[in-house]
Amino acid sequence: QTSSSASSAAAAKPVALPPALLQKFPMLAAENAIPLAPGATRVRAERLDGRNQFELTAEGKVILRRDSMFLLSDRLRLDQISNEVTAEGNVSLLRGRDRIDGPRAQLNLDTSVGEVTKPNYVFQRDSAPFQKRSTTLTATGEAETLLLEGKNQYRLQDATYTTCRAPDPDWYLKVRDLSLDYDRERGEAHDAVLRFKNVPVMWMPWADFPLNDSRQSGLLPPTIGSTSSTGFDITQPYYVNLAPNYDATLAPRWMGRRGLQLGTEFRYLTKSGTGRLSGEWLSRDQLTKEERGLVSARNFQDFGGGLNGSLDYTQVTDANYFADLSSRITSTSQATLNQQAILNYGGLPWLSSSLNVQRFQTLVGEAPYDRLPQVRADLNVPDQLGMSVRMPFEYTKFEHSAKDAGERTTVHPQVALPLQNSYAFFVPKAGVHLSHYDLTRRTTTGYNTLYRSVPGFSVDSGLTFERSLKLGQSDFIQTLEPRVFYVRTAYRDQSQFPVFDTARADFNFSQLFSENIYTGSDRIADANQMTSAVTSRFISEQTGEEALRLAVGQRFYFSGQEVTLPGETRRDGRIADWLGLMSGRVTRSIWVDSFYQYDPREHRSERGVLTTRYQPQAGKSAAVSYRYQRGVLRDIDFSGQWPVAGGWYAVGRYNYNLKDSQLTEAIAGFEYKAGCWVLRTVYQTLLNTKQVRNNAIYLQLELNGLASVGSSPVQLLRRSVGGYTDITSTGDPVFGTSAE
Amino acid sequence: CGFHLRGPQAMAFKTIHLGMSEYSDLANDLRRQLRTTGTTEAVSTASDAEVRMIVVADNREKNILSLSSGGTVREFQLKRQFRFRVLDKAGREVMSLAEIAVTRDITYNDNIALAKEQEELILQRDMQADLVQQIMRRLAAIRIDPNAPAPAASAPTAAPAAR
Repeated sequence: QTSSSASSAAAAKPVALPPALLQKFPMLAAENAIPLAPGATRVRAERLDGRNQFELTAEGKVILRRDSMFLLSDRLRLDQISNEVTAEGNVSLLRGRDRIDGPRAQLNLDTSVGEVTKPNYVFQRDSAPFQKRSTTLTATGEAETLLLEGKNQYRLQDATYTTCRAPDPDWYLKVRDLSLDYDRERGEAHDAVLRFKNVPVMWMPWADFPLNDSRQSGLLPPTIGSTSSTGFDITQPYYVNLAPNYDATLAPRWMGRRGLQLGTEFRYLTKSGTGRLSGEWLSRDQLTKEERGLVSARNFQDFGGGLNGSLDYTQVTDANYFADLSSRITSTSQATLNQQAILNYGGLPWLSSSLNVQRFQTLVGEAPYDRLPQVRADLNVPDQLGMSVRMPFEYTKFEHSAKDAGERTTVHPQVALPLQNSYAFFVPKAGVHLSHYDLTRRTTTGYNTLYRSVPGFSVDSGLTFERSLKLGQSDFIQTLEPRVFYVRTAYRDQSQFPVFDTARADFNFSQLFSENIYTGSDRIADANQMTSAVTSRFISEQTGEEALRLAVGQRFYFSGQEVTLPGETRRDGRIADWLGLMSGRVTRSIWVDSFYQYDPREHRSERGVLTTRYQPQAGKSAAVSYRYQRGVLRDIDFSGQWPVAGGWYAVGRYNYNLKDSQLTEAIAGFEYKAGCWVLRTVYQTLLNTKQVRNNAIYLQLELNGLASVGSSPVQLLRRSVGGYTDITSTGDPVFGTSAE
Repeated sequence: CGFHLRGPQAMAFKTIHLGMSEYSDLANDLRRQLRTTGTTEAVSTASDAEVRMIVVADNREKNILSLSSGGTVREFQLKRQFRFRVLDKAGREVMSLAEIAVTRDITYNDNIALAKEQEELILQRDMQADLVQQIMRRLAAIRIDPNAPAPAASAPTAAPAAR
């Protein structure tokens, strides 16, 4: 028998129903197929009893339908005036992808307000749509009482909550009062205990968590650790989601040996700009008895029309700040802190220009020059009447407390006559370096005003050959690209010129084809030299992807070196170092990146790098790297991530300084991946600029769709382990962005 | 040994929209390289273009490669990671998401920080030239099938504001 209240609007579509219920209620499939108008109610049961249109009672496999909701039960009573319904015995309430089972339910069909006693529930939602990996989160649990507070709002008392697969979940929350608001995609728990493997691991008086993996305000799980210089170390961040593109984090941190530090970070992201402001303050360090702090700002703003600006500013109260208080390699290795503002203008196709104001805070060693200010303009008119004209201009005022200081102006007009087709290029170029110095302080010997003009010319030329090549199953194009570069630069005595920003450049493939062996404008090297190099690439015929690159190169000098930097020994001999490189994918699972610089005069290696990585699949990689720079460094580095057994992964890195027989950085840890959680524990030891070790332990429990507890080593692993893959099955946008 | 001089690099499309700031150096370099093909040109309005390049990411990173025994940096690795797709006028993907990563190592010494900053600029330019060449190779490999089916109406649209 059926009963329905009429309505005229369009019919609702059939709903996807769980197969188990379809078996229990044989009429459910047939019922589902019947069109139902929005706002209308249908009841189907073995026995129906309607009393004077005011009340309806039904018994035996009762199905009540309204919109996309199904209410199934053994017995049901519907008050047709108030639309209040009471269902008893094997009650199942289906709403969209949510299902609630219990012995008794009471519900108002108009307001969707009601109650289910002793329910089991399953709620299903897709994760936030803007995430890379869209996954479905399934929350399950039971409760003493479940209050229905509208179409998408639930409130549960004495409830459990988990996103693991039921039954017997690995972790769940036991909550006295839990609100799930699926309109705002947000859950709120009062008096919650997190039980992991049935052991209580954390109690929270109040917690706020996202239901779809998106960002929400709230307490983030604390970071707890212990390092040698801070002692016991706990940070309790509070995340404030101000708007989709603004957020802030407040992070009080307690360090056993040093005291309470307050940290804060504010971030924004707009169409035209992005930025981050952060600060840290320790009112009194118990060890140094001093106030210590940090301010930092990093902003980029596009003003439109080709004008943009950026700010990069960091200042700390004392030179040992990072060595004492940080365990991040990017902080502890800093010798200077940049304080810089740049304004760029590139609105005209033939001109790019910038204004740069830059100072440094020096933590270790010698202070660099401040540039207050530096103005650059690069006039660049390519391909006009077969000519390319360039004229880079630079004016800089260099300031320093102890060294030569003053103004430098340089301009380097140059004209090229480029010829190019699909297989060859030939570019003759002539130019003159003009420089003017006006010094306000001279600590080295020489005049205060200096002028220099250095003419020069160069010819750059190359050919491209190709051939088709079949390697295994793949079709490649192999190229052969010989290139020859000749430079002639006049000699001018520059021994009296100060050195503000100039040093020998690394000898590499980029330098091979540069006119000057120095970077910076204080020395224009005399030159009469020829460079030749051959590059060969293996390019996939189908996609155009470059799989592998090989190159060799060499420079030949026709004359000796006259211009030098103070303290630099003159080059002798005609032949410069040989260079070679191989980089790319050698087989499906082996990557190689190598560079080699050989000195044929002294018969010795100057610099070399060999990195090999074997990665047959995601989550399985091993890399070894050897780096050598004569007289400077000799490092060996092993890293990897390897599945050991049944969900266990070993991760590690071992970076050893062979030259000084010293460990630079080591990381060792394990990751365990279960169905709905990931556990990571990583130990890191790191050398800092005070030449002591910062040791840290990271322990993180990541619960799918809920939170991660502890400090995340993911950024650290991503940076340190070649080919590292995050094994988490769902993304964690709230905590995943924390610094390494 | 089978090598021959490279022939003209004809592309399968006449116009392309680059999908990045008109004023960026990369756009300038790409426009210039496209002009040398003789077949293809970059246009400034997406609706006029035969194909559209969608830049998914253009990230620059600077990672520490090695430290001295004093804990200061001895080598950095500069990395530029460029990810893009190419769609035709009807929104069909003619080139699926591709990633090009270009890296350069640079030795470092805090005592010559300014000189190293200039050297870094030179390497960034060198990396960009490398990147442009690799993008051109990818674009040249695109084949357009005029009879390919239109994309399904339910295909996901562009994601909302990035995070």
